Amino acid sequence: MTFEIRRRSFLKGAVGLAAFSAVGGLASQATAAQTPAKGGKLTIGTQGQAGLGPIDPHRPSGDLGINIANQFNVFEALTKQSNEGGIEMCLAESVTPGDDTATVWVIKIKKGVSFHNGNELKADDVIFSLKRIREPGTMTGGHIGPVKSYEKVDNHTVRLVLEAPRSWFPIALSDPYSSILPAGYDPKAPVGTGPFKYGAVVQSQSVTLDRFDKYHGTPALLDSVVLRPFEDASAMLNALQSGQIDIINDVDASLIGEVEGDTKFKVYNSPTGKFYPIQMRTDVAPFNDVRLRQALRLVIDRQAVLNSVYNGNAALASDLYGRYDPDFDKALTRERDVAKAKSLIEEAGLTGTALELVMYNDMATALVLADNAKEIGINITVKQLDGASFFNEEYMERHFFGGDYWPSGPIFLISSLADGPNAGLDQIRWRDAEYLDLWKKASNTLDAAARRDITMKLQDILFERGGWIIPVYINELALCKAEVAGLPAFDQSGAGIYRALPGLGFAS
Amino acid sequence: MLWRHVIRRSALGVFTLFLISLIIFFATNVLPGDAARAILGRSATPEAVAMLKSQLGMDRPLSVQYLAWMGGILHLDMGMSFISRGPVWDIVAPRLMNTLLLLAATSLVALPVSFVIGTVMAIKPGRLFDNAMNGFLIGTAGIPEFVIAIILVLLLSTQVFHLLPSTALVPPGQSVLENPQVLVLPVLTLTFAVMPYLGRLIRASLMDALASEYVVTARLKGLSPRVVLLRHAMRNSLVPSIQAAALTLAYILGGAVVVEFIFQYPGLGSALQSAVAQRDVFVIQAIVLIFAFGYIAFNMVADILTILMTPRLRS
Amino acid sequence: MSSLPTLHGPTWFLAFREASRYRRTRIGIAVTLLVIALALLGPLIAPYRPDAFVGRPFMPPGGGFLLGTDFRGRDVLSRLLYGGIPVVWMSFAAASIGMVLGVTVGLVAAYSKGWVDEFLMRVMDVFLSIPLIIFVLLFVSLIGTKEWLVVLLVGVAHMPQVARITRGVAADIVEREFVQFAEALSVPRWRILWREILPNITTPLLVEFGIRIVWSIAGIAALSVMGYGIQPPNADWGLMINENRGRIATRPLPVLAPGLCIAIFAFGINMIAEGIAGTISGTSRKSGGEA
Repeated sequence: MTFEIRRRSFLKGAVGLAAFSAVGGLASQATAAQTPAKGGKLTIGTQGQAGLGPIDPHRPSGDLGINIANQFNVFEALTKQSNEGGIEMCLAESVTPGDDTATVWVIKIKKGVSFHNGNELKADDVIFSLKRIREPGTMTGGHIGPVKSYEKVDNHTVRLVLEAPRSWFPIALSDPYSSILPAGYDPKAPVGTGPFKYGAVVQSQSVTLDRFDKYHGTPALLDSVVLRPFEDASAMLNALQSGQIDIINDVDASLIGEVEGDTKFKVYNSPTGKFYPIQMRTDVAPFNDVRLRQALRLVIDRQAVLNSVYNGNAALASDLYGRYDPDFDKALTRERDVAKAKSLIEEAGLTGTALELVMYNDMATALVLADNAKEIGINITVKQLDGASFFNEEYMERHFFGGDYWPSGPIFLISSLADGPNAGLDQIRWRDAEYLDLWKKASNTLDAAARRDITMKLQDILFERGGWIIPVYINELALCKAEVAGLPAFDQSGAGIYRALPGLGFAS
Repeated sequence: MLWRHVIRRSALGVFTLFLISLIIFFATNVLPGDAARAILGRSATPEAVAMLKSQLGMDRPLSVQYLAWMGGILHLDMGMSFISRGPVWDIVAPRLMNTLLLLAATSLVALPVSFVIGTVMAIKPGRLFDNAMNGFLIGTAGIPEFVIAIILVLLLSTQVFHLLPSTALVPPGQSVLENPQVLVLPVLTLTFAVMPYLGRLIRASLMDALASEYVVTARLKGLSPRVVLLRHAMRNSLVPSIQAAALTLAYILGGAVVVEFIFQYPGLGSALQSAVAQRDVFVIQAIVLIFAFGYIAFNMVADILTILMTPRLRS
Repeated sequence: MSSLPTLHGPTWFLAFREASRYRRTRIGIAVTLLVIALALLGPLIAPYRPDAFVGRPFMPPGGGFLLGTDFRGRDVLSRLLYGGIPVVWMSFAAASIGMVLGVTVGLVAAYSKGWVDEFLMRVMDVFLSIPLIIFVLLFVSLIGTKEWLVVLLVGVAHMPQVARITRGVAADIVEREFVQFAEALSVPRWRILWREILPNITTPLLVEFGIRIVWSIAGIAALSVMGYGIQPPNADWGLMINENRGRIATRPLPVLAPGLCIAIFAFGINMIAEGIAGTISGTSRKSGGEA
């Protein structure tokens, strides 16, 4: 029965897709028929900034040239999320518990891995990198948590003792921003282990990656990949149409129609688990009242968000993250229920409450919510800010905000940053005692089946009391020239184009 | 007299630039949001912000930062960009070249075209060409540049003809000079934007000159209308024309910001926009100062030329 | 019904009446009134709310959407009908602020002469060396995109040019006999400025006011086009251009329609200014020296 529900909503999404991007259907056929040839230079256009300055793969910088490198192109992590959402080994040969406390972990490093500077990957590099990831101000330090000791067992084995148990430690190492660097890494001369190495970087204009021939896995086909940042979507679209670029990555859903019916182009359109949550700070009024949070979750018209904001290129979500985690609870779905939402608000005595919702960049989702909330007597005014103002001093203190993006990923990767104990990005301050107890229990439980049961309970609590509204999961959309071959049919990560680069080429 | 004037104007110009730099610097620093937060984005936790600020030298007192920057300026060093951590000049120089190129190309088109139109109108006032052109120029005078740009894009690159790129795409590492086609639409837009003012101004000043006693006398002496026009009237109308041309250049400098945005032309205007979005203070400083400098310079040149070419002011 | 024009009558009215003899003035008044009517009455006849998501993004015209839908699936016609008010009120307000400030400075400078004149005009020169659009862009992006701030900044940016013009035309008047006569009678200064000098320069100031409105329209709309003016989800002609630029090639209407509305509004005001300017014989307006 649960399967039926999911299947139905999946079909709903599929119909939407077919109706509004007919090219998408053609594209997958074309993809299947073409085989990529070796060689060539692929140029990717993307909206944002790239090639800004020194390259620090562990810290956010807004530099898309680092983002593309981190997606297992220049830099690689010890483990990796597969296209389907599970975990596979990358630079590690194995990551195994050293005892049954889930605090001791033994990492066996893959042998014969060469950095771009010719040095071999060894235990010292891994220890250096993990310590670097734990420094303040990094993206992913929270995944691993505090480390008691780093021990080099031999050149290809590292033994870690963690302060707190992490039964899901292999997952904790899989974030693309947990990349492994050579000991003594110099951000001005960046080297990694990936199938591409950094080539020419033209300040703010282009970042070139060249094929690394001594790659430890299957070598890349392309000679080079050029990333070109654009400030403006229409300029980027023009560049594709005039042949200056081969792929537009992360294109806005409203622009896809531009190449509809044009056989020179195809659309890459893959479901993912990425989302833009609307966050409610739960330690102060009014969002400390769970009834308000649930009412907003019940009243938001997810289908409207899916249609208007994403032009149908998204899937309905029910306020849970980790869509492609094998332990994700597909049975928890929320149907819109205005009457119930209204009665919750009345019960809480919050009718007529005025709220300000602060959004980063696009505010369309917030507008849908504001419109819906009127029906239950909640007045939401929406305010939109640019990056420098949104992430200002108030960022960690805001009561009601959204628009910043969370990547697709396993449940614990997200929860350890957002709502677990000592989470670094827990603006919602959601310290639910039952949840935190269960969370610690799950992190103690090495047995996969037992942990799955606890994870299900965690999701039940999130579903009933959490501080996030997640209306939809957003598809990854890219426009490609028809001759680009080797695109995957599906990649849950939301970085499918970047992750596919080693296998991409031009049709022979 | 002339030199005293020039020196006074220059001193005033330098003082203006100094005031502007003070305003920009303190405004960008006092108001919310800063480069460190713009860079860090979601990871702008207090510790991360503090660390990055000390790396960027943003934790020093504002007065120290400003004086250090001023000291640099005196050595022609415009400071370091917070975002790229490289010299500001490296970011600004290629953009400045592109904007100057746009300015030069627009002057090369707009000035002669306006001059010819204005002259033809003035020679035979009240005739068909004069009336039609006058109507056209008056009618288009107030139309904002971006509307002209939109209409040109629809006419020349998307709906009617597909002749020109609708955005100025310059492949990385190449300059606008290697891709001259990207200049066409921005130059046309700016030309249509300034032509109404310039053309009518030239017409009016030439007509004044043609009606002056001096020209009437020359004509009575039996000189051919052509000689009168070329030798006497044009010279007399040159002063207001040159003044207008210099002011027009100053205007284009400002109007270019919008036109650069619409066509995504890689000039100073679009660089200023992204610098503002990232709160990259010294890049903002540099660009606004360049704009102000250009403005002041064009105005001053107009002044000096006026004095030089007006005999009674020269002494 | 005709009455003789007197020096103490409402001079602006007389200037208008004289200007309306020109066809261009009548065209201008008609077009301007039309645009203002569209802006004010538009919301009453709009088929949808301007911020309602009523369809898919970028639907072509037809099927209940006369001009199609915009990049988020909102009705373009409804946004067009709602989107005129900001441009209209903001450009009038900004031009008015610029006129009040500029005329005050210019009159005081012309009347005081000497070092006060020199000082005020040098201060105006400082203001004049920052291009309007840059000036506004900088402060708006720093303080935040608030309508009153845009209006105020554009107004202040107008001040120096208005002051220059006012000083120029007032300088002659100050030397006239009736001013000296009033001074001899020790009429208070403000009264001389207000009652004696101002009425005599009304016509050129009206022309200047028109030109300031035209510049304001271009400036304020340009800010919205670049994303620094009216903020979403509000409907605004400039903002519509910004939002829908991406698909100008295949969906030109959501960009062209608001663009034309702005152009027609600017055209109308400009025509009125031209008409009034035409009543000043022998005066050729020299404009174009600023952004």
